[in-house]
Amino acid sequence: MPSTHYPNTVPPYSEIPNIPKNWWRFWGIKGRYLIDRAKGETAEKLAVEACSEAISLAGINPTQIDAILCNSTCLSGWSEQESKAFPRFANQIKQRLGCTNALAIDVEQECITFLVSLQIAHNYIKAGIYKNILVCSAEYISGVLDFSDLSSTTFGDGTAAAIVSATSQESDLLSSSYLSNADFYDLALLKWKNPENKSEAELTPQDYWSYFTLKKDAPEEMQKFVPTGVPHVINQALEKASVNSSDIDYFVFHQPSKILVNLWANALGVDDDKFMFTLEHYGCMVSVSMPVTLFEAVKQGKIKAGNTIVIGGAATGWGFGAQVWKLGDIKISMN
Amino acid sequence: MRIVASACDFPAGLPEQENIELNSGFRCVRNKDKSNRFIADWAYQVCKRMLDANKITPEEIGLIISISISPDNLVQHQSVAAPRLCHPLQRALGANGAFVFDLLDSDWATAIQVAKGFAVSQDYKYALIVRAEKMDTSILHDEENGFDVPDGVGVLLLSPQEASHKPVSYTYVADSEHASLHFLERHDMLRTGYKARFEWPFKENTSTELNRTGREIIDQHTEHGHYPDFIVAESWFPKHHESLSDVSDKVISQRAAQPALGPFTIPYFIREISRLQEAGNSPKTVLALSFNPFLMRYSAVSLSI
Repeated sequence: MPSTHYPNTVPPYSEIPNIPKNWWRFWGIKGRYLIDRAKGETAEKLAVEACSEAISLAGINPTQIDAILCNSTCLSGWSEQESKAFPRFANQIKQRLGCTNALAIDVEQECITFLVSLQIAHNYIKAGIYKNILVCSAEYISGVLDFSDLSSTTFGDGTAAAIVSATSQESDLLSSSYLSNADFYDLALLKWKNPENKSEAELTPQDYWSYFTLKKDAPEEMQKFVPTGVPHVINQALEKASVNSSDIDYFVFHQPSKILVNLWANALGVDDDKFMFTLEHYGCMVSVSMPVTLFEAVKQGKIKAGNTIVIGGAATGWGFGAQVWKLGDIKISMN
Repeated sequence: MRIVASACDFPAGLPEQENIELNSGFRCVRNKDKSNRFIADWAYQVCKRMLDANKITPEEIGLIISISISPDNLVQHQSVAAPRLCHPLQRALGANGAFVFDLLDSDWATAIQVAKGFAVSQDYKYALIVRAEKMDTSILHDEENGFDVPDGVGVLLLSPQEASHKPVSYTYVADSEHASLHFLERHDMLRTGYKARFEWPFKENTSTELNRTGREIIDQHTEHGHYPDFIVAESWFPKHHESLSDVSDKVISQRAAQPALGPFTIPYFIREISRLQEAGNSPKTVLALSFNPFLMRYSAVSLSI
């Protein structure tokens, strides 16, 4: 995580105009970490640290990594060289870590990219092509937030990494299911523009950038399909694995809002002690939310070796993904 | 992996180019798309024509992967940058059962491999891979040598249900500078309307090294006399792969003088091969070499058409 945590009560959040009453309670977010480039923090730097630690925990060296699947949702600002767009993140991680034998692939499907990357990693391993694959998501979403607008309030920055390896243990990706629905594509877009609520007199050339934008009716429109989209793909994945929701030891959900996560859990009949919220402390970290929630659940002993778990979530665009895993031993950093 | 169909479109037929050899590289002046259309609309038209011609319905597509890199002009308005191309393309096509995602900084061979893994795991019937670029108003060419990427649309429709498939092999070009794409300063974006600029600091030996590596890859894949029916090698600038025509008469992409199609070389020539076999001949085998100038990486994949 970046070094500084920003509760809702401090700038820039305390200065966002026209925050509706109960806004924070609605989303369930109390704070989040933000990358501060002025302090030398970047998504790349955090990712290198996380990946390094993951490789070390896996007991392998960087040259044993066969492929790197990486993402950072923002086109720019992820690298230490701020203007850099291509070559992209996976290659940068490869160079920085000395993963000389690794194939670099950059994947993008917004909030569910980590899931997509896990699936690609599994496919490579299952086909016998690769043995050790580094999966990393790193988000500098604050780099595209318009802090003069409410659309900036729910997000946080962060990074997560995992090593997926071929194993003789009884652990595997048992099943998965995915679906995209672009009917509501326009609700949440990244657009090149000036900030939403700045007057002509206030604008400077530095203000022009790509910003995350949320249509005014997005919260209501999202209710039409997001609450049902995630349970739909999870149920499909459960069916493919020939298990029921009650057979699952723990559910790891994406963390867009407390209400949405509760709706997903309710639709699946999941008890409160079988899933957790991380958004209160971290906000929605786009593709980093699911791996960090998995990490926290393992760290807190809620998920153990031998468990069968579900990881599922939604992404703008829109896309839904769910995976059922039989877990082996997961080594995590306790720092 | 079997290629079921392929389609291409360029702004005004094939790109034309004016090649002026410089000390450090090549100036490539290419046709750009000057129309007001958006990338998703353009890609939709090309995909729709291809699907209709092959009597495949959008509902049969299980996966759409985009390997496009254009930073704007996606759909509805020039300002739209993300979520990226495959979403509005899915909507326009009505591919309601599909899952879609992007591979950035990728190439055709890698996308084919990823599509195969996904399609097999999810039991998809068809996978669509698309690259659509419209950068005339958003990305500047290399200031020194003119390196650029043409605007266009390339599409491959794949069927994963092929029993054997040799994994993609990768070869890196040693000791050569790679291409890059950098965003402009914000005040320059406002002033010019452009978002970014290509850079590729060619060295004197860049062409030589690229062509030598390309030849070696073809030699490796044909060393036991197992020649495919055709070899297609991406050509990103005029002298890229001009020497391949004497490696083998199977190299269809280098047979005649033609512009460097860059990332559209593979779908363009696969479409040409498909036309050759329209008489109902048996499936053709192709060795396809795609190239990523940002990573200086060749990816070689064997395909049947």
